[in-house]
Amino acid sequence: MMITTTRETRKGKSKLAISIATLITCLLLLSSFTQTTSATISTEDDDYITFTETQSFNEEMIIKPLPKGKSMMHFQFSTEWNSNFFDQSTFQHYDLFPRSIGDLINRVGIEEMTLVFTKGRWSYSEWGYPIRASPVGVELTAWLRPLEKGIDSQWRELTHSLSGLFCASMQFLYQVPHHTSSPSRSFRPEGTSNIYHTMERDTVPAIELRNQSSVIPLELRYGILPRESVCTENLTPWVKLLPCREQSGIGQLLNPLKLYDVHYHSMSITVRKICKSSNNDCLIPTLEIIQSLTVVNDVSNSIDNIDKNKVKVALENLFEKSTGLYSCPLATSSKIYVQNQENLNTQLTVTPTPTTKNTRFSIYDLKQYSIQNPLFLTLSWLKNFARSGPTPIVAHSHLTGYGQERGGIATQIVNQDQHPMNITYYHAIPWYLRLYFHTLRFSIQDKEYSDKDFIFKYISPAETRSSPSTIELSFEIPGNSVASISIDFDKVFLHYTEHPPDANRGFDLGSGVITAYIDPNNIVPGSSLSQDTFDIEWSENTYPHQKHQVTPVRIYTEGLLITLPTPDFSMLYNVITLTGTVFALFFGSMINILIRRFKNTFTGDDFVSDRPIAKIYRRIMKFIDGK
Amino acid sequence: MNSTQKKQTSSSTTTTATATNKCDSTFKTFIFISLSALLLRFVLFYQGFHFHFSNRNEITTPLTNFKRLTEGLHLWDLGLSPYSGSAYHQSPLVLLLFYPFHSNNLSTSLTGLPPQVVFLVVDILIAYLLREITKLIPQVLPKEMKPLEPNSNLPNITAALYLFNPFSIFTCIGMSTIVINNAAIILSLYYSLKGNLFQSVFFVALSSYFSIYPIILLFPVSFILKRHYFPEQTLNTATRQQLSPQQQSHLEKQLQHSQTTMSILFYSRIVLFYLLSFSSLIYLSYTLLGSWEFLSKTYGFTLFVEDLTPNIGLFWYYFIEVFDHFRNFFLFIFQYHVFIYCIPLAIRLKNHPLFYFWALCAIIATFKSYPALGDTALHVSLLPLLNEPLKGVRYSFIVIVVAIYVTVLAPILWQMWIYQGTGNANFYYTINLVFTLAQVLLIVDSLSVLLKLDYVNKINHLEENQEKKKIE
Repeated sequence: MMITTTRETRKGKSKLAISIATLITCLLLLSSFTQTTSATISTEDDDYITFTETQSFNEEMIIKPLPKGKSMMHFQFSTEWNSNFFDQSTFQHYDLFPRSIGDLINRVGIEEMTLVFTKGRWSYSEWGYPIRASPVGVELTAWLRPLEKGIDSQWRELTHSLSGLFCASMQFLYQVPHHTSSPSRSFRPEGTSNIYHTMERDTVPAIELRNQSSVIPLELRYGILPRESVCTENLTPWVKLLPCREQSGIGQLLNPLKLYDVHYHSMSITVRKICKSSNNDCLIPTLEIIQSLTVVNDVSNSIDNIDKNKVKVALENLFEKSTGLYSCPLATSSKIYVQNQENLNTQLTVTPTPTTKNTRFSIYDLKQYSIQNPLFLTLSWLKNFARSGPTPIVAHSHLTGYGQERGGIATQIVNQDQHPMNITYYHAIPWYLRLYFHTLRFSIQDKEYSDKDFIFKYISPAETRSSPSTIELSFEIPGNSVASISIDFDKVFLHYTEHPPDANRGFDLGSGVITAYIDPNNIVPGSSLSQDTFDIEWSENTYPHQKHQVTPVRIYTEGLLITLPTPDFSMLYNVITLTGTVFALFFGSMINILIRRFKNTFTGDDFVSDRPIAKIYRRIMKFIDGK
Repeated sequence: MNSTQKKQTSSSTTTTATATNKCDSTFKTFIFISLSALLLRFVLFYQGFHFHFSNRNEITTPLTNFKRLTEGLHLWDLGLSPYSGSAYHQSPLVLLLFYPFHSNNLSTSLTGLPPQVVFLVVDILIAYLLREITKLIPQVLPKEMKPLEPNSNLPNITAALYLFNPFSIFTCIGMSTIVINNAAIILSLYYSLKGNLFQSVFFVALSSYFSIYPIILLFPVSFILKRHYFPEQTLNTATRQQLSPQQQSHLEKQLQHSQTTMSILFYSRIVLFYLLSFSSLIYLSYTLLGSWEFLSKTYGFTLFVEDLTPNIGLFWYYFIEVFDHFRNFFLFIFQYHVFIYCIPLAIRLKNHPLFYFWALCAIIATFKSYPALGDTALHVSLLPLLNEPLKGVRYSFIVIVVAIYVTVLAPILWQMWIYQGTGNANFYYTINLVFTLAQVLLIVDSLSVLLKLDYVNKINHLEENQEKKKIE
């Protein structure tokens, strides 16, 4: 099935295409009558694209014991949709795939989108790398295909729809433009379908539209709302997108009371197009929506603990669901993975015995459990086990200086690995911090870097009351070294309405994004990196590829809080009146002096004005007096 | 005017030898004054005071800050627009002026000199010009100042008062680019007193190119220039006696008629020169940067008060606090307010162009959108030229005391608001109010004194004439 042959045959077979489309819709109608979850259509013609209309749902959960009595639970629900997305009528029939998202994809032209809600901060140095890193607050990354209405109105529609959908204030990403930027290197599309981009990081990702035989570059919009607080009102609409909701399957564990009583909570939704076929030339993209939720609990004080040095956790107690676990009936697969971390002395024991076990995971297949025979999973591990070596790349950012007039931002990126690594640093800083780019200093181990030492350097200064300042630096950091970046800023004096309601709390500053490209050949088997980073590939269903590619690891720096100088919010009328008085005083005195006529009091004569009005007045007085 | 000039030449010829000696000695004194001022500034720069002073809001404003200028130069160096980033808001030619002195961490500047040199040179230039202006005024504007004694110390005092005025020292050490604007204003005054029409109009255009407000100085400058082009022509008594009264009046009418048409031509020539030089400066900037962006980023920024950083004026707190829907109205009123005085003052002060010049400078310094001490330093340094009419000022004590009070208290209250957190914005705002009131008092007081003096002179003149007639 070659692309060229497809193009050649297209003209002749346009009628055939129409007939296929009608056939698809007919069969879709049929399938909805027969209540099957999937419909398979294939054309016999070998020259033409074969469409397989399927929708499937997978649920997975990974449990990873962390040091100091903490545990990480990662829930992942993925819904896949295989269909002919070149046909608009595809987006009129939904089965497992959530309609609200499907509509949005079609209307806004989303090629790929990630929305993450996070509360708390992931501790990279203690816990390693998360499965999906995220900054504090809300982060929205969208790769948009330019439509006729223009990229800005697409972004507007997307943010407004999402804020309606998830009960969050994403509309501020459009309304207050200093939250939104478009980094050029830090983000790459995750999907692998018809998005064409090389691993060369300076090319713009594009998609090839085969029916028009044209390549369209995609537009990236990236926004962070660091102040957004995440709570149950965001979780409820998120859970609603799941086919089984919280009624059965792994979704049962989604108890809001327990999910927010944690150290770290990150809830995300990713929409992307991937390629499921083994064929490299991916003509049939699969639309995939991944909903994931990561929580880090402190389980050291859980009620199941008996031994002081050991942690014992029963899942049903942790999430207060006494019914036990069984598969969602709509799920194609439903699995729980417990990470063994065999290189560490965790003394992990799991009961009951897992369905399968490999070197990395103990796997429970929930399809083998049922409502009558549910799974009651209990884990136990050593409370204070040691991690194997430090996390390779860690980053921190700080504010420097004091007072409310000026300050600076300093970021340290630490490479604790032996090998040099390629790093891209990106930070979008709102306009109310006026950055001085001539004070930008970058050094690695006290060696000052100049522009030519960077692989890539891009700065874009902010525009007042619109775009943020952005810094994007790519460089190679040698093994066992520290890179430090610092820049000075002035704090801008804002109009009183531009301050947030609690002005003296200050402004939240979004996190910096560090993307480290780790070469898999450099990873020592059994090191902490091999355990952490490549956790990404724990699920064969969602991550079947990228085995031998350079994997980007993302690290977010701390969100910072900045206090700006505040005016006196109760002085509005006083300032207006006092300033007005000074102006009036000057104006009045000037008028007084300028129109004053001096009178010679030494002559002894009475002063007789020669102004017209005085003359008229004198005439009138004379007339009255009868003179 | 002719008579006074004659007088002066005659007096100078009688004492040629002593005068040249005196002249040399006064010039030596000037050299001494400027060297000691340079030494003082050099020591302050050497001690690193410019790091503190260039960050002070009273000394530098968003329009004159040297750090912002460095940022503009840096962005220009990188190939970006210097105006991107809302840090740099000065005119493009300032960029060009400082480009040879710009150095970054990799390379030294083109000239190899630090940018402080520019500020030192400009300060000495202003002092020298003030000295020359003091010498020129009695010749050109006899009503403003009595002829100087040949050994008068006034020119040197004027220069010294500028060089050792704390406000101008702060401005120089704070590396505020307002000094360039001040130099352009002083140059325009100097050339107008010299009678060079083109140069004086060009420097008015240059100063209004740096900051919009000095455009109103075109009025006093053209009044001064008019003294050169239209010296007061009255008929000699000798010719008057030969003519009959009808002939006399006819001749005077003729003269007056020709004078009005000539003066219209004269003023239109000034306006034409102004427009020509201003537009050529704008076009030069356009060719330098290749875009018209600078118009909105400099003039728009000045007029619409986009930056609300505190300074010694009244705009910042007002526009932080004003209600959004009144903002445009008050912006218009406040900006318009600066310009409204030039015509009434022109009518009232047409015989006192120097005082008119000073009054407009003072009004600009008080009511411009981003004022700094440098603006005050300019009009304060012009005050020695007006020492005679202003001898009767009533509130000089209050003004001086308030100036000292403000200079001392402003940094303390700023510290309390921004660093200690024990005060708030109102503290600093109060100081601004007081400072503005002091300047208002100075302007109003001097103006009333001048007008009274003018009236007294007129009465005396009339009485003299009457007495003369009686004698005849």
